[in-house]
Amino acid sequence: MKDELRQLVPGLRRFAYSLTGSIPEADDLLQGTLERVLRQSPPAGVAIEPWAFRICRNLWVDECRARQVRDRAAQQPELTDGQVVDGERATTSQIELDQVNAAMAGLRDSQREIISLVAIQGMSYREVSDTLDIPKGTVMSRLARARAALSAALGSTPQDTTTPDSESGRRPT
Amino acid sequence: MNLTDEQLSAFLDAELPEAEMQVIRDQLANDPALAERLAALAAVDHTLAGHYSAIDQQPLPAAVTELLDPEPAASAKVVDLPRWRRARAFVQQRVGTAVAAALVLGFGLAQLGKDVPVSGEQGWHQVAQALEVLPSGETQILATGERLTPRLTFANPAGEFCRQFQLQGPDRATENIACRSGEPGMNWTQVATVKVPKRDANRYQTASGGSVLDAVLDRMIEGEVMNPTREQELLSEGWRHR
Repeated sequence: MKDELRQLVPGLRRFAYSLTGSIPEADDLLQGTLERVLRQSPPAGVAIEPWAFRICRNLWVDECRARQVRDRAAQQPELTDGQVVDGERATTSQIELDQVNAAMAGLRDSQREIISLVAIQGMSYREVSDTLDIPKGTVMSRLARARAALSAALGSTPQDTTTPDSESGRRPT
Repeated sequence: MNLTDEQLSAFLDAELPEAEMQVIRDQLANDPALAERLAALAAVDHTLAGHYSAIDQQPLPAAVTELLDPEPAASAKVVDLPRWRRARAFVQQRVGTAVAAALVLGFGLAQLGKDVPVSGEQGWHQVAQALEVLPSGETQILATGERLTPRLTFANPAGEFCRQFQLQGPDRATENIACRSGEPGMNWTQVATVKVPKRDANRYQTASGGSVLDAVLDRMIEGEVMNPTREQELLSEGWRHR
């Protein structure tokens, strides 16, 4: 299994990066995923790729969701008790996220994981459906919403650096 | 027909029945606004793939490679397979990709031999002089005309300091390991040599598992491979043990 797993590592790592938006967190998530994967074989008839990606995603949901909520709050100044989001006094590393990370962080988790599996890992809808255990129709609709939201978030601002109070081009979705 | 983002999105992924795919293709051909919308959606994928594959450039953390490295073969010494590979990644960050890639530890036609890499005692004395003071990653041209580049520095189980280095001459190249005894004076002894076919000497390859020099290194490395700071301390203090 280790050989197959080794093949999956680059994809798992990029997936982890797309979910966490941070390289150190991605590597932590990757390690946690590999440890879990190595601890038990997939059930009979389940291919290792969807299974490994599912484990990664579940681990992310378990361990990072709380952090995601805090970070999303930080991007919406009205939710942070009047704390001014100012680059000079950045209180969370999310402020330093570049535009892409910020846009991804603005998605719902359920959209973020799907767009990542399709756009970065290149999974088919069937494979995404197997990995996340959701119907193909749900994959299709969430994916479309994710693409539309990201297109709006990414398409409307200049390519270069975010300024502290531009909110990285996020629009209300 | 007003196409939804959902249909366009599925079209992008070729996940619609062929009949629907064709209908959309036809519409795209006649509707620039629709084509532009499709392009905008496709651009999202392109941006994400480009952005998140940046992590590929970072070396894998040691903990991860340790999880997946093959089980070390049984041997009398304690073999710590992953450590020196981790050190190589560390060196990679320090001295740059070109040099790191030139940590050639796997060769197609390698032969392990005990031939003296340079002719004569004079030649070896120059090698020893260079090993004494030259930091890893830097190259020195010896009087013989050969180019010497140390790769990494480590301690062997006997507590001696050892260095892996490349020697490149006009018609051959070798990867070598030499160790320094603690006796006064420069006392470097050649431990292992691997010939590199000349055509490969300038082509950077990363190590794959199973090279003969890997096996030698695995047996020899005890403790950490020196990071550049520690190595610099050794070089400037005459290799005094701490």
